[in-house]
Amino acid sequence: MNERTKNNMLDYLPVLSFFIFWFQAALGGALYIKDPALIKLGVVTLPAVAAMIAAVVRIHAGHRNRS
Amino acid sequence: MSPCLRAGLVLIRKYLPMDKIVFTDGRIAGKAEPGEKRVALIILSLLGLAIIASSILHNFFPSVLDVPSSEGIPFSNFASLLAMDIGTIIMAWFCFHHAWKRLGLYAASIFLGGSFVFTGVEESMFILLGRWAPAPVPGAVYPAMMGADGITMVANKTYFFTKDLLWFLETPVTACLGWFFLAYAGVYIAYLIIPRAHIFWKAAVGGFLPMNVDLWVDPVQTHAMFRTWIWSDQPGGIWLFGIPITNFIGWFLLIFLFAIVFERLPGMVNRSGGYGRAAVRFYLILIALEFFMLFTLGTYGTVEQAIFSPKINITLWGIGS
Repeated sequence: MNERTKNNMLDYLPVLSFFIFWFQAALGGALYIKDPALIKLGVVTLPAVAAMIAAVVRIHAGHRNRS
Repeated sequence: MSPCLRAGLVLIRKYLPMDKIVFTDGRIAGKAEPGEKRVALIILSLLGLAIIASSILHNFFPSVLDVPSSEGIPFSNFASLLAMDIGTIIMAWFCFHHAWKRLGLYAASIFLGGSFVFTGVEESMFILLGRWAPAPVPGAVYPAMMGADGITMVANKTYFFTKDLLWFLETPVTACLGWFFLAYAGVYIAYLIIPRAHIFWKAAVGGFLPMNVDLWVDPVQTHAMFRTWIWSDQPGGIWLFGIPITNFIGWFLLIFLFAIVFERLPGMVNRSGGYGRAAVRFYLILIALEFFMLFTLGTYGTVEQAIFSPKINITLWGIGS
């Protein structure tokens, strides 16, 4: 892996931590409990999910503009 | 690429300007100066010492801080706790590594230290006040719980955490590190999606995103199948999905205020003429804000509990009722 790829990957790390937390502590936990109401409650985090997607798109666009 | 995805990308490109992307310009922070390294070393050493002392106190002398018993708490065996600690440390490392490379070792250490000073101290104050302070509303009765020593009866008028190997005062290190990476990632995402906005709005979005995720995490992690932390069964107040609404206000305010103060860090370094002095100033501002929040949220919570009795639970699909 060259330096440039490593440097580009660095930009995704904070979004990745945020996503892993959402995926494991919230989604994983709700699926483990198997309570349909708690699983449905995930819809309230749609703004956070949308923000994560927008951030990834912005990072990708930033890298493309740079190259 | 599907037409829907293509249309979505066109919309995002149209309404989110791409010309001023912070953090992702590929810039690597310069090598740390000796003064920056010294401050980072002091912060990390003090954190290490505080964690070792708190962990010994919590795990081996629980009666000193009236630690409640964790008997019957799910996933509280050594292997589960170790896995939880390692996972959280990896996620925190992702953000610390990013901060170190992009903002420099000094700013990364200040942010990490600030997470412990700000959230660790704040949470511990609320936890210990809930344990030792008199009931906020006269006449309210809170059930006592067995202490970890098997003898003491412990009151819980706010909340407490049930499990971790490492502790910072009475807050698990996983909670402090969790706050660190959520706050850092939240503010980072805010900088990416609204790069031209005033710091006030970036801090607001940075505070909103982790709070938004917590709307789901809190009801899940306090469920009987996890009980990662336990809220006291308070007689009054406004609750959202079975969680006191002050919890979500606190989440938002902590990150919002922290982001605004952190934004001013470079100015503090320039004005105070040294990295050490700027760090002291930064942490003194955080501690002052902590007392402000303790007073404000404490007063608000007391008034709320007195007005809304019995408690009101705002819910979806009956969660928390």
